[in-house]
Amino acid sequence: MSNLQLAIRNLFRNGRRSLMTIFAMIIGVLALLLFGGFISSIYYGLQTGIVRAQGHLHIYPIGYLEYGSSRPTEYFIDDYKDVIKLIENNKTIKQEIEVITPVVRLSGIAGNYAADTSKTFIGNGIIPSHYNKMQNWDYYQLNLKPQKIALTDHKTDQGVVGFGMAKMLNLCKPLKVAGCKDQALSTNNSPVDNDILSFQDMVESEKVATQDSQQKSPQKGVQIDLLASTGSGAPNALSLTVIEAQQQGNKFLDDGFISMHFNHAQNLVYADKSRASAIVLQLKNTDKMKDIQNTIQALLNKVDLKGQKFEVKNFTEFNPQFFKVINMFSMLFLFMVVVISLVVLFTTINTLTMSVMERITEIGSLRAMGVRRSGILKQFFTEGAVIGVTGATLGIITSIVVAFSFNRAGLEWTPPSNASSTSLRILLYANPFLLIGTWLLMVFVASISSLIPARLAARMNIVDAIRHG
Amino acid sequence: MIADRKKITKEITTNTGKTKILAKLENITKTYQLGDVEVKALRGIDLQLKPQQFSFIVGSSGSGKTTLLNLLGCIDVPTSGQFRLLGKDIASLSDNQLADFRNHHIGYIFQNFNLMAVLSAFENVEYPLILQNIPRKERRERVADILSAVGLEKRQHHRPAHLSGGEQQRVAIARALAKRPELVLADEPTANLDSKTGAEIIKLMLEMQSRYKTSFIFSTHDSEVMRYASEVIEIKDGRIEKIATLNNTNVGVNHE
Ligand SMILES: Nc1ncnc2c1ncn2[C@@H]1O[C@H](COP(=O)(O)OP(=O)(O)OP(=O)(O)O)[C@@H](O)[C@H]1O
Ligand SMILES: [Mg+2]
Repeated sequence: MSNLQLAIRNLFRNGRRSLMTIFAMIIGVLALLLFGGFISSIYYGLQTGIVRAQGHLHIYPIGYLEYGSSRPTEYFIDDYKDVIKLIENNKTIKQEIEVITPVVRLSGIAGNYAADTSKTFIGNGIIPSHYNKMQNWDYYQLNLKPQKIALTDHKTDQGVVGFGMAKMLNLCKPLKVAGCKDQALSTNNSPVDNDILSFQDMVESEKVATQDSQQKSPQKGVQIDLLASTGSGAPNALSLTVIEAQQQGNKFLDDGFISMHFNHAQNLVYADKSRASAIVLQLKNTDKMKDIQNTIQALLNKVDLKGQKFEVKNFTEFNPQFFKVINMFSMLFLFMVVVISLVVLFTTINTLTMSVMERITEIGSLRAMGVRRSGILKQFFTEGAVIGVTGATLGIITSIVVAFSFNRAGLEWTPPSNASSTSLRILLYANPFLLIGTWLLMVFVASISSLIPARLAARMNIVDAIRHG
Repeated sequence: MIADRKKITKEITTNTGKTKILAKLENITKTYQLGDVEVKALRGIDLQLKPQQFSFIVGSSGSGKTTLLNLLGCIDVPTSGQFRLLGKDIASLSDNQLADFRNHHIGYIFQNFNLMAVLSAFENVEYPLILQNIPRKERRERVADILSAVGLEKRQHHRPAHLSGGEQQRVAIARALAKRPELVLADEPTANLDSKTGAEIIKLMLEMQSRYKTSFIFSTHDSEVMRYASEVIEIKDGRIEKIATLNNTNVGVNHE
C-alpha cells in the first residue's frame, strides 16, 4: 500500500467532492489553454504575416531607419548585389535562407491625370517572384491564405495600390474595387492659381527631362503618374500601370500605399541600377533568427564594401507593433493565470481541509501507531498532487478536444493590423511550453496548496485527535 | 533517521534483556488546562509493570484511565514525574524518535476500532508492517498468520464498513499484534460491543497475549473482567487505589 494508492483511495472515498475539485481545475485549465491557444494563434499568425510581407531580417545602411526615408541620397545600399553575394557565400547562413531580395522604399506624390487627383504615397519596390515566394512561408503550418501580389517579374512598369489609395485617386471603377465609388468629376475645374505649378505640369516636364519611355503597348490597368524625390534632390517622374487594388492592414497605409516592380522604383529614386534601400531576408524558420542576425552583422562589419556601414534588424525591431500587440495579450494571459491559480489554490485548500477534518481520528490513530508527522504530511500532499495531476491532465485532454472542434468549425476574424480576415484558431501545440507549462503550473499550485491542510494534519495533537472520535 | 531508529531499537532490547521491568512510573501527574480551570487527571502515580503480563486498569468514568494509557502509549507527556518504558526515558525523545518508538514497540487497540476506512482488513493489518519496512513476502505471511489467529481469514478482503464491530475489533487486535510489539494498549476496547462479543474479544486478547508473550494493558470501568487478569490496577480520581496481583495468569482462556 503506497502513499499514492492510499491517496487515490481516500480521494474516491469522497468522490463527489474530489470530482468537483478536479472539475474546477479542468475548467481552469480549459480557460487558460483556450486563451493561450488563441494568443498563440495571434502570435504566430502575426509573425507569419510579417515574415511573409517583410521577411525576418533587413539589412540597412546605418541610420536608414531614423533618417533614410527623407534622404534617399545618403541612405542606400550601393552594389547591393555584392552584399547579397557576400551573404550567400556563407554556407551556414545560406542554408537558413528562404529568400534574399533587395527592396526600394520610396515616397512621393501619385497623381491620376484623368481624374485630376493626387495623393502622397508610400511605395515599395519589390521583385514580384521573390515577394510571392515569401508569401508561401508557413513554418508554423497555419495554412493562412497567401496575399500574393499580381505583379510579374517581366512587366516592370506595373504596380498595385491600397484600397484607400484607389479611392483617393478615383481608380475604383477601372480597378473594379468592391464597395467603392469614384467621385463624380466636376466639369468646371476650380480655377488654378497660375503661380502654382500644377501636378500635371510637373510630371510632364520631368518626364521629358528623364526621357523615360513607356506606354509602348496598351495594357490592362490604369495609368497613374508618380513623382518622387531622387538622389540628386530633384524630383523625378514615372508612369505606373496600376493593375489591382489590394487592401492593406492599417488605414493610413492603405490610403497611400503603392507596391511596384523593383526596377521601376529603382529608376524613380536612384536612376542607378546598383542601388537598393534595403536587403530583405526571409529565413526558413524564426528559431535561429537572432544568431543569424548577429552572424550577418559580424560578416558585414568585417568586409569593406565601398566603406559602407550596415545594420541588421529583425522583424521585432523594424516592426515594434508586433511586440506591443503580443505584450498586451501576454498581460491578459498573465492576469488569467494569476486568477485561475488562486481559484485552484483555494479550491484545493478547501477540499483537503475538509478531508483532514473528516479524518481527525484516523490521523490521531496513525500517529499513535507510529506514523511520523512527515508521514501524515506526505499523505495529504500526495492527495493534493493526485488532484493536481488528474485535474491538469484531464484539463489538457478536454482542451485538446475543444480546440480541435473549435478549429474545425472554421470561424474567421480579422487580427489587429491585418488586412483580411483569417481563420480564428486555437493553437495548442505551436508553443510546446503552453501545454507543458500549464500542466506543471496546475500540478504545482495544487500540490503547494495541499501543504497548508497537510501541515494542519501533521501538527495535530495526537491525544486530542483520538478523543475527537 | 533510519540510523536513529536502529539505535533506539538496539538500546531497548539490551535494556529489557537486563531488567525485568516493562515500565516504571514515579510520581506521575497530568494536569489539563481548560481555560482558567485546571483539571488534575493524574495526581501522582507510582507504578511498575512487569513484561508479558495481562494488566487491567479499572476505574470509574473520569478517573484517569485514558490519560494513564496515553502516557504509557507515549502519545502524551506527563506534567511532572519520571517515566521509563523499556528502559528508555521517554521525555528525552524527540517527536520523530517517539513516533519510531511507538512504531516498533507499542500496539494500540481503540474503543472505536479506528481502522482505516479505505483499507481492507488485510491491508489494515499490513499497514504497520509497511511502516517498519518489512519485506513484502514476510509481511504477507505475518498478516495471513495473525488474521487466521483472530479468525478472520475469510473476511480479510472486506473493508471496515462491511465488518461487524466485533470483526473490526479483531482486525484491530491483529493490527496491533502483527508488528510484534512489547506492549499492547487497549483503551476500553469492548465498550462499543455487546457483552457477548465483548467477552469474546477479551478471550481473544488473553489468548493472543499468551501466544505472543506480549504485555497487554486493558482499561475498563467494568470490574467484571477482573477474573481474567494477572494484575488489576484500580484507579480513582487520578490516584492508584489498589493493585491486585492475582495468580490466575492466562486462566481466562478457560473461562467463558
Ligand atoms: N484533553 C483534555 N482536556 C481537558 N481535560 C481532560 C482532557 N482529557 C481528559 N481530561 C479530564 O481528565 C480527567 C480524566 O480523564 P480520562 O479521559 O483519563 O478518564 P477515563 O478514566 O478515561 O474516563 P472514561 O471512562 O470516561 O473514558 C477527566 O476529568 C477528564 O475530563
Ligand atoms: Mg477513557
